[in-house]
Amino acid sequence: MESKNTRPKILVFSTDKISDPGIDQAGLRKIHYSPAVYVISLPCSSGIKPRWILHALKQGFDGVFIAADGHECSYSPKCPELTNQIIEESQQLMKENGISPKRIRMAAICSVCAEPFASHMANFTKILAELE
Amino acid sequence: MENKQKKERIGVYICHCGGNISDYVDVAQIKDIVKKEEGVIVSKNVMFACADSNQKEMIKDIEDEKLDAVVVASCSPKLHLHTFRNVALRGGINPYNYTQVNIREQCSWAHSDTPGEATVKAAGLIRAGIKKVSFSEALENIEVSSTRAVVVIGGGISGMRAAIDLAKMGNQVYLIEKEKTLGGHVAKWGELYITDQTGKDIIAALIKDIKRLTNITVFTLATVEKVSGSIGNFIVDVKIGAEILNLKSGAILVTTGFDSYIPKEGEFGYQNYPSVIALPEFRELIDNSKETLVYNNRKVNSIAYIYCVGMMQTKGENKYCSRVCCTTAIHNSLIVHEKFKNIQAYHLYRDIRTYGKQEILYERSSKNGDIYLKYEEKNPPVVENFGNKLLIKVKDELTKRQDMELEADLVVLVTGMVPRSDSKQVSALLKIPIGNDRFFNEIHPKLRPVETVINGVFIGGSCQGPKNISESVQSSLSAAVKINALTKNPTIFLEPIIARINFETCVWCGKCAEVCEYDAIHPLEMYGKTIASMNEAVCKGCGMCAPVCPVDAIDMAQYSNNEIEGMIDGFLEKVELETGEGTASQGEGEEGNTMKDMPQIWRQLAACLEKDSKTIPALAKELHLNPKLVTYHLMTMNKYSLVEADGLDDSDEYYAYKLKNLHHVEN
Amino acid sequence: MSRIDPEFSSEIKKYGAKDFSACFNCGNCTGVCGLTDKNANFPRMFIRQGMLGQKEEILQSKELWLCYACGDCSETCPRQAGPGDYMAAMRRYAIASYEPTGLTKLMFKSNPGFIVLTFFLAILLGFFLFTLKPGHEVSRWLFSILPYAVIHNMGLVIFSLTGLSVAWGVIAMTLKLSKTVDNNEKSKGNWWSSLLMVGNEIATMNRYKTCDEDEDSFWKEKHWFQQPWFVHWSIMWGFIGLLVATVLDFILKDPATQIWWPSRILGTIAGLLLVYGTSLAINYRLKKVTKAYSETRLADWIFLFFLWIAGITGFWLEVSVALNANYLFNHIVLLIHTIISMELVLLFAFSKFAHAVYRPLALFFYFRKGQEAKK
Repeated sequence: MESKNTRPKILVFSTDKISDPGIDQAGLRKIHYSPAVYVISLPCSSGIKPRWILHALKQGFDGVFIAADGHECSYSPKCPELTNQIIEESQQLMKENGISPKRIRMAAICSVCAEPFASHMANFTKILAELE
Repeated sequence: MENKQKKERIGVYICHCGGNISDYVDVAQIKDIVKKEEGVIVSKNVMFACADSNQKEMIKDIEDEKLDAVVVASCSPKLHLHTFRNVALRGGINPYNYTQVNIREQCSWAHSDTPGEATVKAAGLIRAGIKKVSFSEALENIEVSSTRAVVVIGGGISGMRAAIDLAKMGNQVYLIEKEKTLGGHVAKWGELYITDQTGKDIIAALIKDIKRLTNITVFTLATVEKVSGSIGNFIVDVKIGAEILNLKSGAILVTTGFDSYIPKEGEFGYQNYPSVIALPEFRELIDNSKETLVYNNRKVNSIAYIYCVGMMQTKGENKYCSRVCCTTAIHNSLIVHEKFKNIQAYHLYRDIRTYGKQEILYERSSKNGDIYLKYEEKNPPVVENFGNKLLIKVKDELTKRQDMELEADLVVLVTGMVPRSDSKQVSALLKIPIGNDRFFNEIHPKLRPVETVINGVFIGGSCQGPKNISESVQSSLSAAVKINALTKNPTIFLEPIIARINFETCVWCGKCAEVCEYDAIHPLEMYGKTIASMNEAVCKGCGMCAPVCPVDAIDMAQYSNNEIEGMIDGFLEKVELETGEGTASQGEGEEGNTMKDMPQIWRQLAACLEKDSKTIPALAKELHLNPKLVTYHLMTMNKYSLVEADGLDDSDEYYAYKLKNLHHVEN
Repeated sequence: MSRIDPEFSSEIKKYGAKDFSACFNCGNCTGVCGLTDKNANFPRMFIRQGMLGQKEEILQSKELWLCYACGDCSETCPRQAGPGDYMAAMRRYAIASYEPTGLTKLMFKSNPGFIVLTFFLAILLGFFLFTLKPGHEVSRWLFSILPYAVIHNMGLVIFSLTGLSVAWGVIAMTLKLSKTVDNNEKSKGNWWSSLLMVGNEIATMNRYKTCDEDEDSFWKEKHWFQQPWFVHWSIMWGFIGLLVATVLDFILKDPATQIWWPSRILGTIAGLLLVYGTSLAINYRLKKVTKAYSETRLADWIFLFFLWIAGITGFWLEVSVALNANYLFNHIVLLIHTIISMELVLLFAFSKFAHAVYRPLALFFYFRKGQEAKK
């Protein structure tokens, strides 16, 4: 149990229509990733508030991963741009609080991207472990 | 933002999912952990949360324990969110005071390799769900009254066909056409593939139908100037000559169609040589010619068709395949072959896409002796003058990439579909998103193919992307049915998951209105200051406006700061597991594999099947039950992997069933 | 730069190419063929060249002759474009093109022309033969018109015409084929070993065998002596054997009546082989056992039939001579045997028979190229 507690904790923001089904798919196909990954699903990645990200990192999450829709987003073609802005703003906040900007990541995860999601988690886990 | 106080009487149900969850997650322990959480009154393990018996039990708990919120930790919300929202509603709780926690797809299955940690994660997920639900607000569906009228923009074949069906279903239809006559492109075409009817005939028949229907009003030479209002109550300003009409409609169908790509000057010699023409011009030429094909006062003996002109450009703006042009060109070539005889056809193509039934055209054409030469985008054919003919040079991929040349009297540039030149204006009027291909975008190409993100605005036909006539009409008719499902009710209910503005903190900077794709936010004078106001019927609930607010005055319903930050805290709370092993219940003796929580009839059936496998008639006889009832329950048990088929019986008539995954039955 | 000639399609149709315009260039035919490799790409490319009218490319190709017409490609063709028959048609076109007189063109393109020519030759040869026997009734009035010497010389001229045509064809083909070899790289392959490889193929038909041994081939389950390669081998060696025996007889100047003479024994064995092979081939074609045997042109029938008649009548005569049965009927048989055999020789350069020189030549070029590629 002890060693398992050292896994970096990752908070994932997913989207209801595209990336969350992609993450579900990983489970459905028993494609494993770190059990220290927790997912919050939202309608769209452009609705994530930087204060939530900061809250997560301050309270004990080691990293935040945004599983965005990219250009597939059905709400707006501006979605990738706005999500980027959110990340930049968050990184600014993180800097002010002495948190490495490497602790936030983003990738587009499609509704069948089970393997890509798992490999993103593996990579991010590795990166976060190295940061400690 | 009413009822801000936290929920204090929460019921939590943790599902075994017949082992799918409980094989890897120690659900019994979590139940005990959760029971100690603040506000939790009921914490239970259930074999199948979605089972009818459990739903009834939940409703009873809600009533008996006066619960004010419910959490079910089971499968993905995509499967059963609505099921349990309804359970909550039936128990007398607002459906939005219900939270679904996904401990199957995103926990037990994903971490079946590490059951101990899966249990820790599941506990965190459920705690987050409890926090979220404790901050949840009761929400009411947004009610909108609706007008039973539909505006159809674009009077081509898609719009006409949809208008007819909408009218027949009882809607007042306003069909708006920019040109002088209805029918669009199809009205210009001769013989069409499969039916051999001409485009002109098809359109004439549709016009007849439209004239017969009194509830279709056609406006020709009319343009849409402005669209205001929202689903159920759009107001479409239509300009006819100098006059402007305000049409009230419940929904809008956009069937504005396509433009044909017009080759640039010099593209394969277009406009440099008179004998280089584009596909629509060629179609007109063959439709208007009789017996001999004469162009520019010269008899045509050979034709070279150059495909993919302006399409599938790796570097240009039209990256897509227009997919109707191959069929059109080959079909035209067949018409030429039959109508005029002895004309040699050369097809210079990149890829022939005569999909589906249209493949037969390609076969017929090659059997006619048409010569096909395949070129690559990087080596396009070159058209040159050659006496009173044209000389085409091409590197043929099919003949060892040799440089070939051929003579032709006429070069036809096979052009595809591009978005209409005015599609940007249409998009701006209606806020329809435009895709990378510059055609209009639906919400989801497979699941919601004719709806747009704008409630009440639908798209059909080739304004959505290149389509042939059948496909265009299919999509516009599907939109017609969708629209009727909406307009036939006088009241439309909309999901209340939208952004809300905190009037106290809002200082109106306009940033939210700027990012809103749907024009849902407008300034409003209130409490002596300017604040942002949200049009509830227009807001799509994407949440884009929330992060840009400098004073954090916008919250999404169901995704408020309290809810999200509460979830984060819930994830992180320490989980103390009792057993050092940390493994979940695995197999015999544990709760997960008994039938204690199952319906009585299931237990009876399981008891009957314990010794050996039996058929449905045998079970019905043994238990004195109706065979239909046995079938129903056995099938359900089969669905939950409690029983499985065990081959046909001796008479080869019925399947025998046996127990699966269950080691003993407790009556 | 090569100019597309759409008229060529109608020209090759006259040689028996039928449905090839249905081809959509999938290449299954090339894929399924056991004889294609990096240096030999057919039949797809030939169909392509035919469609586009690339005559030179066709005449310069050795690949045309590597095909033994097993028909696998036609069985596999998703468009029923008949690539196998197409290859046979192109070989007819090539034979007709290499040969300078135009007789072949007449025979392949027009069935009536073929029949008239064959009959005309038979009659001509008949007269010619009668004139060789002074004292025969028919020759008298003939001699009064044409002196013996004239006819004799004419015979020589006709035979030399065949010989010259063959030589011309071989030279024409060699020139064409060397073009493709030299165009790419200097051919450095060892010509002696290439020649040995050609000899080996003629002796063993190893390449032909691969056609019959194909996975789902109709012939795989059959006995070796029923397989097409062996049928072909029997006909070929039967004919060669008979030719050698005849020449030996001629050299020994004694149409030996003794059966145990080596040349007679050779003749008997070769004759048996020839009759066996042709009988089987005719049988397969009549029954259309596989796709490869279902399309038979008049030229094929006449060729096979002549060989068969020559073999059968040969044996008849053998027996007649042994029994010393000097009847009129046997005289007629002798006449038929001689006329048919002479027609076979005479028309050698102008018929399907010509592949006997073109194929080894093409194989020679193929092996040289192949050795070069291996280096």
